Amino acid sequence: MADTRNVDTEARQRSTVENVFRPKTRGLWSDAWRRLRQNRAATAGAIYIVLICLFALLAPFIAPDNPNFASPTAQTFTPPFWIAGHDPRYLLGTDELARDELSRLIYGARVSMAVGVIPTVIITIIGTIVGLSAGWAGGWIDDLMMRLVDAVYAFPAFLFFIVLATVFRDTQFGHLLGGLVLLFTAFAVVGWTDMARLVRSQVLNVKQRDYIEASRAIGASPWRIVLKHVLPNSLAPIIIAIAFSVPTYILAEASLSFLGLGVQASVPSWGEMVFDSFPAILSQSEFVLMPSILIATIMIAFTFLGDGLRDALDPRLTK
Amino acid sequence: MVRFVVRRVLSAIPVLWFVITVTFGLMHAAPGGPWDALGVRKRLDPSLEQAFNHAYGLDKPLYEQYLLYLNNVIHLNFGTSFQQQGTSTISVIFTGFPYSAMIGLLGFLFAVVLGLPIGVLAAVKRNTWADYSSLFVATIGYAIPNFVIGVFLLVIFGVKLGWVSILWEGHWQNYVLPSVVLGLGPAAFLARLTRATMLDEIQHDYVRTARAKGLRAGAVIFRHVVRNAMIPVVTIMGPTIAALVTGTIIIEEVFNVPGMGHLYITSISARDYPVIMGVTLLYAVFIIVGNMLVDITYGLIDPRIKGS
Repeated sequence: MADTRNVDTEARQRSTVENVFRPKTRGLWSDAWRRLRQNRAATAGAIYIVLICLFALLAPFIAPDNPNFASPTAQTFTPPFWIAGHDPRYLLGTDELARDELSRLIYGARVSMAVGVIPTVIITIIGTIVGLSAGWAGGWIDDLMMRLVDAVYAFPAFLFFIVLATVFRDTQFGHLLGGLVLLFTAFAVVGWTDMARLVRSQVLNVKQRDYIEASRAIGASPWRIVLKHVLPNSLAPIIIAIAFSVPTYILAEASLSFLGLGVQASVPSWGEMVFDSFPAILSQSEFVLMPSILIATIMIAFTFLGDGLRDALDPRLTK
Repeated sequence: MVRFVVRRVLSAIPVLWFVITVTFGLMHAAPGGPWDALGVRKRLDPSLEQAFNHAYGLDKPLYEQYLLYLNNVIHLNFGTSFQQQGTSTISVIFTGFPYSAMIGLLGFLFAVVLGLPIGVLAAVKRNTWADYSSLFVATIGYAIPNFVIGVFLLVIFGVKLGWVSILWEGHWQNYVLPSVVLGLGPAAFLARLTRATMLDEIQHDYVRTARAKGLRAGAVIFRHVVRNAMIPVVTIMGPTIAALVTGTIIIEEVFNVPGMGHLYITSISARDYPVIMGVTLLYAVFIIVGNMLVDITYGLIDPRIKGS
């Protein structure tokens, strides 16, 4: 009993000495979290993204009107509140079909967030599995998978989206969830390759480390090594890739919708709202600008957050 | 070097084959054919449709059409357009190509002329207001999608100020906005990357040595640091060229340019198979050649890579 207490106090004394003379040691994740919070641009980006997510989730409660309802009493292109002649019922005016612009913008957040997040989840799962198994197994499995990845990578992605969107737009499949399922599929078919490449290179890197050799030597099963060592050590680059993947798909949807090849006309999406009001740009530029500003700001927010995450999670880059 | 180039050129062939096969498969998987959209949604007379299908070989089994197309492509025969009957695909594409090429080239020049100096300046004046403001502008410019910037500039200069025409009139003024918008994103990207690689290079020992032997600061930066910092920047030129090439599709829609991108969109909705295939292939060739040129320049700039 006395013995243990002695050891205990000794340890405490030593730790006090260490606390005084040495900076507090932190783990990778808490350190990264602290650095992320100190990054003002990244924090602002994250707050803005949370706000847009709330709009997307709570759209039916926040939106003053049905986004697809063209009121028979409303006029088309009622100006927004800062322009003379606006209608107090419609804060941001009405669009070319006399639908409430504000409600459409709020519902548009749903499309953007869904189209950014869902394909990212799919490609992260597929890409991680393929990358892990190709990198870990090596040999012909690796060769085969990487040939496939190379082939998909060589196809110009945006051209593929355009062809796929046009071809399947008028089919039953193209109408699922207002065309969203088609977009999810198109993005996932191309996107998983980036993630697979990334995970594979991480695995190849981690695989050669001594601690992997050590755990193999003490008899850990391959599954245990992959799940306990390889995956956690690849997590930081995966998180960074996720943060940059979400805005990529938000942009792809907005671009396709701007070409008239995105979601179906019944679904309010920011890109489609630009497309719809674009012919009236000379007289009604406000209606082109409003959704454009939302696309620009969400992209800026994600870039700030992505940059912040990269700086926070990759200490080698911050000097 | 010659072997390296030859090998790179040969490796492009399976990629092009893959692009042809996927595009061919997708187009023919779609319901509806090229004659549906003729006129105002009018169905063709069945016998006429049959005659058309026969004339263009669309009545053959799919695999036969596919093999025939591959064979034609090998002989550089891309068929004739369905939409503009009697006109070869190549001449249809070349009605739009000059506009797109001009905008793409000007956009690339704009990106390099703007992006590289800003990146170098930001790195040399590290942690000053010049650095912070250029980095901030570059981040914003990189983050905002090019068609959105295009819309903003169109509203400012076309609608509010009335300096440029919204419609395509073919003057040189019409080229300014599309090229600038196309080049802005790559410029911002280049600036960010150049700054990062410059900062990385500046810390190296050879820079201290060069300074120690009394070289002027300008000579150190331009003769030593910039040269080495360009290596990673050059590698990113490939994806930049790809972004410029596909970027023109959407930019042309914003500025009403009658270029290849516009042609692409219209021929896709009209199911003009030969033109879709031709344009897709041409875009893919541009991207592949862009990447190839980058690999070759890379070998020229950095002797360490040569021959590998």
